[in-house]
Amino acid sequence: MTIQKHRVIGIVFPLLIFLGVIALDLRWWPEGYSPFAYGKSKELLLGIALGLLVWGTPHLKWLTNRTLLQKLRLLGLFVFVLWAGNKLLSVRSPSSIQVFDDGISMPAPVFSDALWTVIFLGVVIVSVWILTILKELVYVQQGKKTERNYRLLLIFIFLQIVYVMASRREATGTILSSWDVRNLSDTTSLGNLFFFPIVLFAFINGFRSKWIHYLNKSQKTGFFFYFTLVYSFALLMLVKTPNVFSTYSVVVDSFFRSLILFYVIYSGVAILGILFLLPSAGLVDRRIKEIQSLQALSETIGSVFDMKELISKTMELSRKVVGSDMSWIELREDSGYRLAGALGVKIEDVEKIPNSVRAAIRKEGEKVTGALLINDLTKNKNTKGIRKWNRKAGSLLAAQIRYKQRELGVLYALKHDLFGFVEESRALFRAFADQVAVALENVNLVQVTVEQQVYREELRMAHEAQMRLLPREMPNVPGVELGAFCITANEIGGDFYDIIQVDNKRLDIVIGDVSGKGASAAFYMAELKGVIQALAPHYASPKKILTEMNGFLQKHFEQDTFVTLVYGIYFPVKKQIHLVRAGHPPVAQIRGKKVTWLETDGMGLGMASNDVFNRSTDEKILQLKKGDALVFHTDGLIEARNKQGEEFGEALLEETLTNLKGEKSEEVLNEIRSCMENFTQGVPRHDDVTLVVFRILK
Amino acid sequence: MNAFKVKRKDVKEVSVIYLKGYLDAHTAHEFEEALQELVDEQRVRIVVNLSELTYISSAGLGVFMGFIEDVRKKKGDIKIAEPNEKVYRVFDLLGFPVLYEIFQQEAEAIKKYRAT
Repeated sequence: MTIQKHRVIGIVFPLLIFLGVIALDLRWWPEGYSPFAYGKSKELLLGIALGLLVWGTPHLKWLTNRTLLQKLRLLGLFVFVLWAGNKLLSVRSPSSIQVFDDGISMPAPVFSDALWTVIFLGVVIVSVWILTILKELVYVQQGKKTERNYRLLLIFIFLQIVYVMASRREATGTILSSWDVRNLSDTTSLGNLFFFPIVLFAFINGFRSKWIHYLNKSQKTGFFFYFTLVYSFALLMLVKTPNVFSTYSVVVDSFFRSLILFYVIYSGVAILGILFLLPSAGLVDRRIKEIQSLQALSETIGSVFDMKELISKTMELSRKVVGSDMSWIELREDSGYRLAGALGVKIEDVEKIPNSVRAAIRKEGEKVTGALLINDLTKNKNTKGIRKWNRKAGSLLAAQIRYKQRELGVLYALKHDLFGFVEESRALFRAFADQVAVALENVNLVQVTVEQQVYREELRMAHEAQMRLLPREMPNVPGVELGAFCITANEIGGDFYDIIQVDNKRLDIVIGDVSGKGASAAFYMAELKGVIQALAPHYASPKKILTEMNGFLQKHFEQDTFVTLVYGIYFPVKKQIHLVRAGHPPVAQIRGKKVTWLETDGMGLGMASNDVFNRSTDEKILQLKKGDALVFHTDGLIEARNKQGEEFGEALLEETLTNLKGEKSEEVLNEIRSCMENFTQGVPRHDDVTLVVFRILK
Repeated sequence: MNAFKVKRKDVKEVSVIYLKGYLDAHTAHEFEEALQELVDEQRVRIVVNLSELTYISSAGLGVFMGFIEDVRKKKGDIKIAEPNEKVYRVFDLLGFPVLYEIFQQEAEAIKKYRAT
């Protein structure tokens, strides 16, 4: 059912009924006799109207969508309004009285006085509001039986209403001249057989005052006095209720009295409840604050990834958790401790505490499980002098921040008072420090992850740069066939190769390997390629080129970086190749089924002076003929590993080259590649693998 | 990660560094730190014993290259002792024997220092 329907049926409709009843009463007033005014039909209508109102008011959002404090304040206000309204109704006399033959006098229809009517309606409505708020309070943290017990209370109230209504005497009569009234019914609301069940269930519901726990100490105190004051008005209404309603309608009267009875019982129990909880209220508040701080820290752990922010939040929360006047945190770094943050005191001031004192505190803390508590800093042998640094230093809490046996730092909380911390603060501070440990670890992990990602990104870019430095396609040289591949490893390996056509009388083949770490290898490669391209046209001897390069490297590259290279210059006219092996794995010459390793003397580039390089490096001139093939490789191939950790090795390479089935460069490349992949069986490479195959066709 | 360990032993004015296991880009920094320690202490007569070294990569070779000039400037040296066949092959291909004295026995390397 929609809110609108609720409002209509539960509020508007009953009000209309009330007004209708009043109007009907009015209709017969001039006649001096009203069959309706005191008849059962009127009571029935009023009863139905009341029932609907009780059912519909809980749907009144402006009443129910309020905070606990607002509801409590409204409750007291409504009770007072009720009392005031009652007083007004009883004080204000109606304009005339109607009395009937059998001597029972009735008040004149009260509605002849418009104001009286309004007040009457208002009192009825406010009564229902009070009942609604009481229901809300009873339902706070409802249990299994809450609903049942409340409904039973309502049922008994309404049963009593029915009973009273049924036993109401019929009346006839004439108008009296004075305001003299007596109850219509012998069976007053108080003292009939439903009295006791109502009282019983009022008490049962009375103990449902869990809302008291939601009040802090000052609120408890405030409401204690507030409700005690309101209680006096409620008691007055209960004990000295004038028979305002009973002469008009026993239904309304019965409801009203039951409500006041319920309120008096409920409120009485609640006031006692508050009273009993007042002494421990302060402690409860403190505990709640501590837990809230821990909760706040838990949330922080999940959402803060900036170290500075974490430190600052930790300082705030540590103050809340143990109520310290000052707090600071030391973080473990290498072999020392760094002051990372402070609150309630400046970091520079904390640094004034001599290192020996801080170290002594830490040492003492290591001996204790949980947190260290020094109740009187002036009496502790390690911290005696602490007053020199800060006159207000009284007691200290210190807890190691530990994550899985690893010490991350130390947390400190200081209070001006001696014995400022209670014993339980130790366990609490320890729990807090453990949370901080997790938070710190998280921040570190995030930083590491970010760094790793940045590093991976760098590697990726360097890898792309590396790939771009390799020749896109093999030049078309008559009489010669070239093929190559370069398989990179995840980490930058530094392999490269280049085929340079200086002019149509020569073809330069270069294969090399830059040592060094990570992404820098790729940048060195770029430089090298540029240098080679620049030098090649000027020299016809690879040794000369490499000597120049050696000089360049010595000057421009890091000391620990060197380059191995094989440089071959092929002259197609003579079918001669000039080869220099600068510290690189030797080239294999394949003639028919025979494999020869061209292991000339040589050393890597960038390792020694040009003189030394020159002396130790040989240039070999090789005469080639049709069908010859040269295979250049890098050490990534030799060092490729299988699952057992064995290396591919030079022997296996030789075997592969001896038993080649194909002739063309592409075929040779594929055979070597699949041989390597068969050997490694999926074990990831840790170094680039580069191969160049050069074949003489004619 | 493959295992790698560095040990140091001082024999009068000579320091011997023992490398054990796998020297590659991941473990090279440990070797580097050991050499740096020696240089900081002005102990520049260094012998590197490779009897238990199973593998060396260009990163490991780079560590040698990174220190040799400085050490020699200080009138010291880095001599290599007892490399296994595979490791020696790596040195040989690269041309290390031209730059470094490589000995089959640690004692020979130490003796060489006395001779100078």
